[in-house]
Amino acid sequence: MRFSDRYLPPGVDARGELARFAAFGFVFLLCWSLSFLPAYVRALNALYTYEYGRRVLQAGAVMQDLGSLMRLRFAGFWGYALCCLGTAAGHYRSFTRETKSIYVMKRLKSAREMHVRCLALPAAALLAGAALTALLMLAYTLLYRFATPEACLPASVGFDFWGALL
Amino acid sequence: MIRIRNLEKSYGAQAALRGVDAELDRGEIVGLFGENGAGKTTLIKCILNLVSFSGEITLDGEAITRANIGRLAFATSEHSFFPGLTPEEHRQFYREHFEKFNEKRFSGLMDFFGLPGKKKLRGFSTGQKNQFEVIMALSQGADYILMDEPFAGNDVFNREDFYKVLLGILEPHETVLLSTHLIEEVSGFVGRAILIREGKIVGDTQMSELEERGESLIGYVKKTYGYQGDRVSKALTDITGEDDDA
Repeated sequence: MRFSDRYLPPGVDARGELARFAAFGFVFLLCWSLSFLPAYVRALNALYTYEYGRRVLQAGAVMQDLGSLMRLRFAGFWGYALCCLGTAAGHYRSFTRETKSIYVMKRLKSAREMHVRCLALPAAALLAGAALTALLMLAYTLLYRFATPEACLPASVGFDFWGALL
Repeated sequence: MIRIRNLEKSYGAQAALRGVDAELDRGEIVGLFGENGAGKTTLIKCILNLVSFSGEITLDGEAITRANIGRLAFATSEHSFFPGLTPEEHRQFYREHFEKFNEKRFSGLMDFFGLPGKKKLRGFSTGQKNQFEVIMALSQGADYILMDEPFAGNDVFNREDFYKVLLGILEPHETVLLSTHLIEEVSGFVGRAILIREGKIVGDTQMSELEERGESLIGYVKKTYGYQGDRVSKALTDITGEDDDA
């Protein structure tokens, strides 16, 4: 049995839905957070100075802290979450849009059937989006930790998780 | 048996059903007649638990819930199929969700009406959509098949075919409640007529009783409704100012 036969409103195209979530994820999660990279490069360059044409670390220079570099870089997650919510609402609406197939759904033995079909994919997409966000956060943290000169790292490399999202 | 007791339903301040009492026995074919807004659709939707109501509706003595609602099927002019699915995909869906789904009847009716099995319902004509709507209701395997203006948009030959097929395929235990304005057309098909007006049942008779009295169904409906036959000529006289006798 196909995924769409069980976890999507009947007649909704699974490939189209997945492509839509991929596009939402690309824009709201990946592209949005990528703005961390130029900010990081700028902060990294600020650690250096040029002496006789050579790039050298400034004495006592400390890298901008990770928290401020990450700030709002993942706020796009909320846009993505909103898209997931909108998709779920669209699924519910699909039962009354062209026809009243809601009448069939209300005659099924299981009241859960309709909710599973409306919520399963958006919920899975939301979880996948959260996992991707966490992975990107980890990747940026590792980049910060290992690409920043050891001597310039601030006392703590941790960052404010909610600050990155809100 | 479906038993309806003191059924009341309002939409805001507007009363749609007022103290409806009725019973539908197994094996009956019942016509539900009434003017637009009389409460026919609301009555059917109450039976199917699609709208909230006060009063009592039971199916063989039990309230209608998810546990037994599969014994009711519904065909409506609003259509209740999934427009993005093909008939074949509907067959799969119904087979999975309605344990008494009647495959043989589904295939037979699909063949009889020559409907394409692999085309999405969205692309069907209105007539074909109506046919499919009724086919699904008849194939669900329900004991009670409720139909609300199912043939709106079908041509007369097509409707004629449907009545004949229905009479031929219905099992003795299957009950049909058919709401329609096509009174004369279904008079040879229904065994009982229920008349509803302004949310109340104003007439309920067996066709055999009408036959015994030598009365036609349309005559019975007009009489019960107090239809004034000279209404039109009076109105025309008022409008045109010309006397019919002149």
